[in-house]
Amino acid sequence: MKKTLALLAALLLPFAAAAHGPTPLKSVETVTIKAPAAKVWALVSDFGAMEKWHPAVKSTKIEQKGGETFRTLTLQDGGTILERLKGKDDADMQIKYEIVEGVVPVSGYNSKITVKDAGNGETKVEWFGRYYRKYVLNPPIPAGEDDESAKKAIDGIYQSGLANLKKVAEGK
Amino acid sequence: MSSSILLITFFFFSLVAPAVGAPALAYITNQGNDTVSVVDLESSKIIAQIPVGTKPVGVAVSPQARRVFITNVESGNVSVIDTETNKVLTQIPAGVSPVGITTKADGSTFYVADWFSNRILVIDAISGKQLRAIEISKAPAGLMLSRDEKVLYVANRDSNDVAFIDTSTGAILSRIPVGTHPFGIALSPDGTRLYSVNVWSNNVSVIDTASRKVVATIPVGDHPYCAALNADGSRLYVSNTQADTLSVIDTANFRTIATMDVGATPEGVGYSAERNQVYVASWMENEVTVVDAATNKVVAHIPTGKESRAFGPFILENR
Repeated sequence: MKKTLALLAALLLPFAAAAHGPTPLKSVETVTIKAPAAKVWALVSDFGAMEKWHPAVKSTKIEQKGGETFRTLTLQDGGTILERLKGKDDADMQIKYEIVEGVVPVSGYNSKITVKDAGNGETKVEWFGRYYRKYVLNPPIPAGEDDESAKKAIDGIYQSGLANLKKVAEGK
Repeated sequence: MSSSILLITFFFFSLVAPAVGAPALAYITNQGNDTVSVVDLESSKIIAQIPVGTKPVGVAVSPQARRVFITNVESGNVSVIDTETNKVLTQIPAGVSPVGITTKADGSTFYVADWFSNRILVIDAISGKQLRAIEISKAPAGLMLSRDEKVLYVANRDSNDVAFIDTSTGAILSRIPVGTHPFGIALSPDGTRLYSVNVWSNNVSVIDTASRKVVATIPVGDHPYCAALNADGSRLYVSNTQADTLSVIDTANFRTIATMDVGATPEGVGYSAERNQVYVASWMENEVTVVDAATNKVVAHIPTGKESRAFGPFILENR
């Protein structure tokens, strides 16, 4: 019985990795910071040092593989997230990346952070995410792998991250 | 005598066909607030926000029947909109998770891609009855009918192929391997070429509909989703969801001649022959980005609703 289950799980795995549901989820969070845009961008664009501004991140390990940049985030609770840098534009001050695998209950996650000079010495930061819930097969959906769990996790990451980015950049 | 008949005929025609010459409209599904925004393309104004089912995504139009069909992926039904009043006439059950949709030109029958059940549903638009369910490959998405309506084309996202289905028998005629994760498809105006937009391989497969073979593969931007062609089929427009751009391709040589920034996470693409403009639904920016097809420049941003998708040819014109 156990063997059959393991075999079944192994058979399902490639499909699970490839497929996802038809409805993506969105998270967008914004913060206004009383600090120059260049200073904020320096923090946000440093792909290998997220612990400098995100309170949930304990350390970041950066790696180059096949001409691409990856980072492994180790969280305060020990969990890890592997991410791939998709693009960084210093002129437009925007960075794009995606999650390859990790502890966050999402699939097909991709994200963008933009930094804009808002005038009067203020900077506006926007964090955008598009993703699907963790459970990618047909309903019924297991607890903790549904849309609500995914959205709650990402919203939480964005809100706590931007609040702390503001603190760090404003030097408080 | 004959001139008076002509006059009467003309007068009568102008009475029964008040919509002739009416401006082109775009029907944009908004996943985030369960509505369809109707955009008047002449004034760039929203003339209606129509409540539909849950998480609307796909759009099919029939100017002839004055109907627009919307798939609601979470409520498992199709909302039928009367384009004269821009109100929902009825909601027709359509499987588990309908995504792609296309209709016969006369609006009598529509076809739905039921994502999770791996089936194509054929539904009578008048009675709402399901006429046929066709087992297909994994996660069917984009649908198009051949110009003579004898063949239905289906992009099967998770089996990486495009299927050709005989609409009279429901038999699968062909399965053509394309790039990885085909989602949106577009057909040339003359019906000879079918373009499959492949999300994971960042390219477009060009299928010759007569030989049923891939004749070219065009590289595009990151995570492309949907495509549309201009009136003579010489230009192909492709939305690149993760590059936040629109690719413009010359179909004579399959070269990219322009790439422009549009509203973030662009999904559905529509072309209006009346206006020679391209309309792109932006999921992240909650808008439609308008591109002038003559200059390949963005000329307007029209706010729509939350998480605009507009999957399928969503422009209603020649009314």
